[in-house]
Amino acid sequence: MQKPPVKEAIDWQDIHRRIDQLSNAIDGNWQADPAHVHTTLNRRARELAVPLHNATAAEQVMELLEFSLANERYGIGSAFVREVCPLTQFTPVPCTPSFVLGIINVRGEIISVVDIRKFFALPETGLPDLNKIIIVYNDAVAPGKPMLFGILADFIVEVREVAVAAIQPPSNITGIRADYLLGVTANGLAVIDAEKLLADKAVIVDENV
Amino acid sequence: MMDKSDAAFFKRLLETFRGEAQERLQALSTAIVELEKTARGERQQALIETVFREVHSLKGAARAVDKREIEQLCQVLESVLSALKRMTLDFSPAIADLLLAALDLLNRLLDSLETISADALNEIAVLCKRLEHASNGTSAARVPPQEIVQRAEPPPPMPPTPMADNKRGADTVRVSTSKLDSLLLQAEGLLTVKLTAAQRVIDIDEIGATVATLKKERLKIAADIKILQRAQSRVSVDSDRKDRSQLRKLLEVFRRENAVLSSLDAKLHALSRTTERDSLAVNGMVDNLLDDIKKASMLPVNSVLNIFPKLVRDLARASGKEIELVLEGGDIEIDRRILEEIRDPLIHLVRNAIDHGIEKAEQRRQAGKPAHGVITLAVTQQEGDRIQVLVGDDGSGINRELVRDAVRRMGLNANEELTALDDERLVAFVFESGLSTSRAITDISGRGLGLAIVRDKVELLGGSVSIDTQAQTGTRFLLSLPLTLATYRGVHVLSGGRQFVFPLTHVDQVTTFNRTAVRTVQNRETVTWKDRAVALVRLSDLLKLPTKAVADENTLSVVIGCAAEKRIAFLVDTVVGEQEVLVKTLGPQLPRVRNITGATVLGNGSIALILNVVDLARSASNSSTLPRALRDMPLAEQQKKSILVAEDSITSRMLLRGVLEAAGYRVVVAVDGEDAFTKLQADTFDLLVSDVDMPRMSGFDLTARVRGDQQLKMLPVVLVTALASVADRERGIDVGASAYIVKSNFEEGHLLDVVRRLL
Repeated sequence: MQKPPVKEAIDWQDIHRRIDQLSNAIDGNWQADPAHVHTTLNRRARELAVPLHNATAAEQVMELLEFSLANERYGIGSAFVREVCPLTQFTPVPCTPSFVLGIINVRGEIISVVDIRKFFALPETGLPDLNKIIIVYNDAVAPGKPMLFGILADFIVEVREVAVAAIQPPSNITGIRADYLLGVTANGLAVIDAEKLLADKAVIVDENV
Repeated sequence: MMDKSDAAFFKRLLETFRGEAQERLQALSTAIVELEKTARGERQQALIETVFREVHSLKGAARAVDKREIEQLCQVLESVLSALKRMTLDFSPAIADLLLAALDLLNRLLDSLETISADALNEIAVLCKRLEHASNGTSAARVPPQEIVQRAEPPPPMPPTPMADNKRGADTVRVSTSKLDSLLLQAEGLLTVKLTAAQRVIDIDEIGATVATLKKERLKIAADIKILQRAQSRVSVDSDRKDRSQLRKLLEVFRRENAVLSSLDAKLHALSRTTERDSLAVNGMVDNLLDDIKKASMLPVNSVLNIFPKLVRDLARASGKEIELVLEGGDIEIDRRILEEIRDPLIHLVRNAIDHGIEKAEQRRQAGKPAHGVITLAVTQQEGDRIQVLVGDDGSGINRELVRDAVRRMGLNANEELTALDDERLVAFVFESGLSTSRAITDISGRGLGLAIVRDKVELLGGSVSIDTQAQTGTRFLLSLPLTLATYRGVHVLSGGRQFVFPLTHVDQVTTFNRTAVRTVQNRETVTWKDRAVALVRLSDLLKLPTKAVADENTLSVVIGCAAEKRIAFLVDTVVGEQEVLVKTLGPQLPRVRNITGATVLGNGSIALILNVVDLARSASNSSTLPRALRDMPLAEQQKKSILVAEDSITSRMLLRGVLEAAGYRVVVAVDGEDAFTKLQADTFDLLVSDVDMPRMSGFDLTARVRGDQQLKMLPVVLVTALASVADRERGIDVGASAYIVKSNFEEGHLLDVVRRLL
């Protein structure tokens, strides 16, 4: 049970002292005690500090953007994803390999779009519902000249973290596609090696007549 | 372990360092080459001072990013320079070579800053040794250079000397190029707004015209209405009350509608005026903004010309020729993007001049010319926001006989024609791809690709290149370039159902021919244009687009394209008109696509591809297959069965369209059920292929509506769907679908079978 607060007499002396102290400080006459400053800063630093997370290989995680393409689930490192946008219109570019779907206009920027089903030479089955474009980029390879293009996807599933150790080498996947995969997770998510794909000469169309 | 954000920060830091270092190295190489030409004296001292300062700053910058190797190299360079400053060492060609070698090494180090290879480390060590020897090489050095080298502390900072540059600091700021590019991109995006605004004015005027016509038609019957009104008031009391009230109601509605029409007309008029004003305002603002932003990204030409002193010096040495380089007009500012693009062409022309143009000293003396050749790189401002770049040499000129031989070797032109060719046209052949007059391919040039690429690049920028060559006096290449990467004008056409733009610089004329004017010469179809037989090719054939039937009319829309001397008549479906275009690249993944230069965004937001006429001309003459004769062209549209495809996913829509068109059907597409129903009423179709899951109106609802419509109820409907359950299939049959195809086991053949059976 709490007691009702007892009304105390106002300590006018104390109030005047504090007002004086404050006005002194405002006038700039106040000098902080160096020892006090030091302990205060130290205390604050300790409060704000976050313990160093010493991740071991087993704990290292990778953030993946999971998407669906031709009834299969793929993941791609979100560090390489610039944005995802809906595919509403595209312009096919003649005289390009079939894996180049065409170009799209993203806020005035022209971006080419790659159909990785064709690039991976996967058999084409069914009628696709390709409605999303994942724009991937990497500017680490050639400074000042980032590689950038869109990847076609049926739909985006989610963004999630996967333990790096949980990505196993692709054993049951063969063909061209296997070369561009980092591996497969336990639940069958094929993780694309975005760094390799973005640095790959085979994706680039550089052709003279 | 380094934190991710730390790593990113360090990467940015390295990037900044790289940028700064590149600038400093550029300044250094210019100064050192100039030093070589300067006699001892005040000027030399000033230059040495500059070089010393640059090296010192570079050293500081390298230390800041912890690049000890670069710091060490700079340190040793500093000791050499300080010996030069103290005049304990004389500046000699050998020293210049050493200094330039160090710059080369530094340049290479910048390319792979993240990890410096063992080889590079080795090179650094070797070069440091040589530099140390050089600075030691003096006999009576009052200050032993080793001391400087081994001193841990950097030398005391230079006493501040007033520099002209310091004053500029206040009114200039450094902005990263990526920020400028982003601004430019956004400003260019406004160009679409400008074009759209103009389109709105046209749209509103069209509605206005419709309303005006309606009003006029009403006026025609105004007299009849008046008679009716009078008659209505006179009708006798005993006549049928019902009739009277009906007529009154009708007239009342008519009167009110007239009032609405009048106010609509006035409102549209006002709207048209304000929209036009807005459009003009937007026009002005966008143009000014683009102009200013373009100006903001202008750089003095010097930033490119600076690479030449060293380049010419090195190449001249390598080829054993004496060459002096004259640079003029480096202060003129032009668009940074243009500068970047002309760098390589200029290097190529200069290399050519050194390799083919300037003769060896002996030869020159025999011809009565000074032993050292002169290469001039002069930039001058021209009228109409253009600049001219002259790349000239005082060498032997281009040998016309060699060109003639080379042209013959390549089979570019028949013999008899060739001899008749006038000088100008003959020399123009040097721009042809594959033509090289040089019999031997040297390190420097001779592959015969170069000049063609130079011309391609320059023309892409909206410029032109011409050549003037005289035996013994030399060769001059004149590049005319725009100051800013201007929007340029192009001819917008449709071909194979796609939108393309011919750059106006490559169009001689847009015209029409009668089908009967087409002649077959040596198995190729030609038309006669300006008394010349010009090859006629279908643009869609060259681009390998899916073939579409040609409209049955007898007039052929033709764009006469020009690529150097060649003229080609491109047959297109429709010429939409001439318009302003802004060239954009196709993105880093598509650096060079055959026949396509780039893309442009049209007023309605769609993309048109910009054609590379030079490529097209080449493709046309390379194409091994004979173009299909116009007579054999497929049936006219109206004799085909037509199919409406309703599908909201663009990829599926294109796929279905492609499959059906390839099978010879006329295909119209709709983006949802609502759209499809509207199109079904506006046109006649033989079959409907529809997706089930669509916005606004589903395929089930669409089918039900088709079955409920008097006109459409017999139309066969094929539902294509992702829904594979029996219940869905039954629902499809219930609403009256003729066939039901499941997307997951979609097959071209199956669809065509179904379609064929139903038609």
